[in-house]
Amino acid sequence: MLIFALATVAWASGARADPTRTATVAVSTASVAPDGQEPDADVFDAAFADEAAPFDQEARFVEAVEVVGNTKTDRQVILERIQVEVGDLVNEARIEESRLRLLGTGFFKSVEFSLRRGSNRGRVLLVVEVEERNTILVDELYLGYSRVSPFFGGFGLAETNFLGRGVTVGGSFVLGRDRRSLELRAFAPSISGTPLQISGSAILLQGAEVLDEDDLQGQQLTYRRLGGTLGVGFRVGMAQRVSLIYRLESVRADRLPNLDPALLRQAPSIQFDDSVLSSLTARYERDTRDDPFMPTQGNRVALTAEVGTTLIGSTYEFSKYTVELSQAFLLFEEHSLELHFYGGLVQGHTPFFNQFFISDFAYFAWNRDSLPRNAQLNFSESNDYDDLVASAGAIYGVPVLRGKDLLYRMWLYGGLEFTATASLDELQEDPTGRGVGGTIPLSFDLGVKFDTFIGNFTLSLSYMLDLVF
Amino acid sequence: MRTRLGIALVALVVGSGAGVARGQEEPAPLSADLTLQGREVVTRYDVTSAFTEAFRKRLSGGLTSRVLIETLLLGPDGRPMLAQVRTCELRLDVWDDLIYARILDTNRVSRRTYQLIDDALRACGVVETVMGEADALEYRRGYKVQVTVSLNPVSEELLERTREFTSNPRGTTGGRPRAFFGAVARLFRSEEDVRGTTFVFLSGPIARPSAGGEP
Repeated sequence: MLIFALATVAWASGARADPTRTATVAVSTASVAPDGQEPDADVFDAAFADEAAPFDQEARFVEAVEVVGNTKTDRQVILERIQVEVGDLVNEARIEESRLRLLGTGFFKSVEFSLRRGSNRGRVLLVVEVEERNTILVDELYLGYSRVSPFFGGFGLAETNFLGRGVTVGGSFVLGRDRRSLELRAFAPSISGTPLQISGSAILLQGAEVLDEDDLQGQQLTYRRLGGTLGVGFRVGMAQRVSLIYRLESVRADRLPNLDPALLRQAPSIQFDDSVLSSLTARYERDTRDDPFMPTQGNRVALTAEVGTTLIGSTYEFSKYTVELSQAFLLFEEHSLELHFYGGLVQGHTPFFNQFFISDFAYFAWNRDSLPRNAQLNFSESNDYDDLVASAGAIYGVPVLRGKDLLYRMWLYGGLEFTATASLDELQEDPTGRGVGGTIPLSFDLGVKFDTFIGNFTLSLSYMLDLVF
Repeated sequence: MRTRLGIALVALVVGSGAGVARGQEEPAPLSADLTLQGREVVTRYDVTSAFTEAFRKRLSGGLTSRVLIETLLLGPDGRPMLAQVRTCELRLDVWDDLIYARILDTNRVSRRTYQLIDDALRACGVVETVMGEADALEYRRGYKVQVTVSLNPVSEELLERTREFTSNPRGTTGGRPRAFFGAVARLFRSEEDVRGTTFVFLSGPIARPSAGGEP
């Protein structure tokens, strides 16, 4: 009983500085009234409360950190994200921050911290109990048909916690008539707990571009790409990072003998025979959205500048600049509205696959015959690659289902996009430019989005309309 | 054939819209009453059912658990007329096996110590609170008490600070679907994990209390 009273006094450290309150607290006892209320508990008006001494605790030192439940994830990957170390005072704000950082990795279904008695009073064990989740995710899914390819399909898989080391590795492929692509990638979000990030990717691609939309069986531009990227990134602040990426690709494009000179002039821009694409990209990103799939708050800014020059061995001399902006809003308690803008400019000579393709940005629009590229491959008859793009739009999402085990959530969404592309050369020749997504630059989409245990999926009406019409 | 396919797709999309009603969670029923204490209206209710097993588990882990209880007195037209907030902080001392509770109401702070978690939770979740002056109640009946209980809520500032890049592994935002059935990786923490659990309770219609006990 005495211990109880003393503990209460110790806890209410504000009382130590206030003799009046000490007297009140000291009479607390362990006896609990039948209704659960303690008649002699410490109750007083807020006006007399010492707010500087709230809910005080005696000093508790972390004697050890124990990690429980990690059958796959390396213990060090977890410890690197914990803001409290052995010997520190228990700091509950830092523990909560650590919990959120661990959940933010996406490796765990749940993360709970708790304390256990240490070797002596005032010493505690900090226990981190994690429940791991599936980290092998489908991150791309391609399925379609077009006039160019009766069927094409493929998918991408990503393991976000490879060998339990917190590294993402992934790959995707797509196959269709005369076209195939394989991409591999890896991303280490933190090197030894530092803000340094490393990424890499590889691509092996064999593609073809239609040269005459009225003669799909006619000659095509065929080409191959083999290469990859290597990047380093630094987290430079809250949800911000800068990256520097080196890209090296060997490109081979087959010559087009006996082609009508008029068609040849309209052919996508590329150096025939063997060439090298070597470039450096600087990128700044700030992403404070709560969810990239259906965000309800936050924004994203991404600025990119890519330079290819003979100084680093490139056959192509060019510079490419892009700006991405988006802002998310929460409407009617659960609805999601995202406004976004994308702008881009290419100066100089770069292969067509590094230019802007309107269907990568626009949804379904009347009188426009193209599909978005899949794994960097074009399966439509359009070869309208351009140097300029401006695209602005909105996506509105309404949650329609909430599940637990397999299907977490489902939304109905609608999207509108104004997109225009243009070629710098043609703009100079023709003030109206070209490539405005058909007769009007407005496109739309309707569909359903699913958040499931193996990934996020979109069922898009615009894609199907693009195929049908 | 193509037209039929298009119509089927539209039907699928519209059909899934029928799920809207199912997607919205209804408030749980609440047994609450209104009484007069002098010139003030007092409400009483019990929301201890909101304290989940996960919450109890965390509480028994020795770290501070927080509860935010927001009470609204709604008029017959559903508009909020009076509001009160209670916050509870509960912590188990792992050495003494005692639960320390600090409960803050608008004009009161109480600090208590309990031996049983259930008793501490009852002290927090069984609420009797002054809502405001009785003069504010201009209608005779049709009042409702709405209570929102948030378990271990997380501040926006902390969420901002701990947010990792939410872009998918490729560093892109997804953009327009690349296929009829497109996918982007899911990498993120769930809303409930991050923000804590929230329950909403709503009472049935209650008459305005009167000094004589007649509505």
